[in-house]
Amino acid sequence: MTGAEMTVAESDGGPAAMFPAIGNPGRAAFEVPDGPPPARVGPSDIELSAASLPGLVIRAASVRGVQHRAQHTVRQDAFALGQVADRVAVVAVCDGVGSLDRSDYASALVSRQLVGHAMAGTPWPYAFAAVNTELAKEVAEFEATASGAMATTALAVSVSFSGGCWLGEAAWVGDSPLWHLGDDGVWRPLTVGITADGHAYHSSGVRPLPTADGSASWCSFRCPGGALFAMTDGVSNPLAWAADVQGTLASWWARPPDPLAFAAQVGFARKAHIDDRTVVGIWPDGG
Amino acid sequence: MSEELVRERQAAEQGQLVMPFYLICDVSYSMLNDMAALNDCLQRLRRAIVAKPVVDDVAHICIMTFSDTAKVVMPLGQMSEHQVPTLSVEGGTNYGAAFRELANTVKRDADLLKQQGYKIYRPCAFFLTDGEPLDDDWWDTFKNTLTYNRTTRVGMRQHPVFVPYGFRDAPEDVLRKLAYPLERGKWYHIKSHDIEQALDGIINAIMTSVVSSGMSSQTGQPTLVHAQPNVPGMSSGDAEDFI
Repeated sequence: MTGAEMTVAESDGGPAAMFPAIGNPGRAAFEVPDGPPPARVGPSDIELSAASLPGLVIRAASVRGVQHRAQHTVRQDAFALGQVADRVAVVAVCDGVGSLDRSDYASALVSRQLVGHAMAGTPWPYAFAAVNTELAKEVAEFEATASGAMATTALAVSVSFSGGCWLGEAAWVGDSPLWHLGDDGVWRPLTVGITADGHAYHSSGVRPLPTADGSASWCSFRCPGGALFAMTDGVSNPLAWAADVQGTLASWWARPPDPLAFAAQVGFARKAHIDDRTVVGIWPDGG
Repeated sequence: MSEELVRERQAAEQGQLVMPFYLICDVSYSMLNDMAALNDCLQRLRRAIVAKPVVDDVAHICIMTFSDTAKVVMPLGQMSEHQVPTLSVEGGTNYGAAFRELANTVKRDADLLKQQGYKIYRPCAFFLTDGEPLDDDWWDTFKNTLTYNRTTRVGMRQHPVFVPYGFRDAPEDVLRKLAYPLERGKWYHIKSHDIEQALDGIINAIMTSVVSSGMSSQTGQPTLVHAQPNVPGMSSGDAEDFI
């Protein structure tokens, strides 16, 4: 495991915990306690799915970040899975805007509706426009009843694997990207223009749904072999910025891991990277 | 935190997020009777940050002093890895010296952190003063060292968000001019004669600001949050366009 280690945390008289870390895990991953159950009954800290289609294997995990743990707030990332035809997988990942208290609702709603629209045959640009309208209605209703505010990023992907190649379409609003991990172990972003570097300082600003017009960025892609990963910035930022993260995740995810191991890996500890983490990985069956 | 329980690497980490804060303390002679209170406040600030691991992981703090000259007394770093030095009273109140040293330090730190692969948020500089500037050209020095013109691209592109806190003889009209930039800078002025109470309120506000910024969750990542001192006789305002 390049640059990775299994890190042991112990508390006085409490149970030992072991979880993956890449590089310096920082203090928070060890020292921030689990905290009380959520004030609103329902949301879980971790959501996990495993699926297979002819020719494809899918692992999906969404893990509550250390920051939400510290603030006693719920996970605001979400994912949804579906299929169109026998061999086409449809996935969506959403990253709720953390400064708005009901963004968990927005991310769950948008991810599920995007996949639902795709399964009904709606092209991504129309699906995003429809979901944006629906989310705007919900935002207005929540606002009218003082039930909270919400917004979310969204990435939606439809993809099949044939003749040794991935063929698909992706659409997105915000900063949740799609990455290709090649058979050479190199990570390449397929959704361009999401990471804005070159400024004097880092900024966490993002353009989320709902937007004024419901438009989304869109691309089609074709790439050979390897695996695809739709993810939120909780994972994509350290992946984009650090060679040891790239090497370690390439090693872990060269093949589809056990689903429970995958969830633990998605939640790897790394200093100051304390956002929610969501990844949907898609591998060729037998790859 | 026990070293046996937490095995942290000290080496720089590619892509680690850092939120830098600079605390610039006036140690001019007029602070003679207030240094003990100021030092106590700084120790309390350290304890508050160290007690919040999420904040300690992302917030890096630098402490500077100024009087006739200015210097860094605690270099930028994680509070849990530094001891706060005891500050001592010195000479006059030269704002320009503080501005020049701050600009040089911010730029040097930002360049070094970037070279090491860190991702840095725009720094915030808390400027504590109890007196009016004795240097006539303080305003020109501030404009020339710590501001940036986006149209002409002249000035300090890496400028911090500048938040002045004034008490005792610090003039409000001076503090107003120092809040920078528009929409992000704030100024605070405390008219109270109880300097210990004023210092306590200011450090509490800075503590809340650092902790809230470190804990803030816009898109799940930290952003700068302002906190207001809860002290009688306090006035405050947003940055205005003086430049």
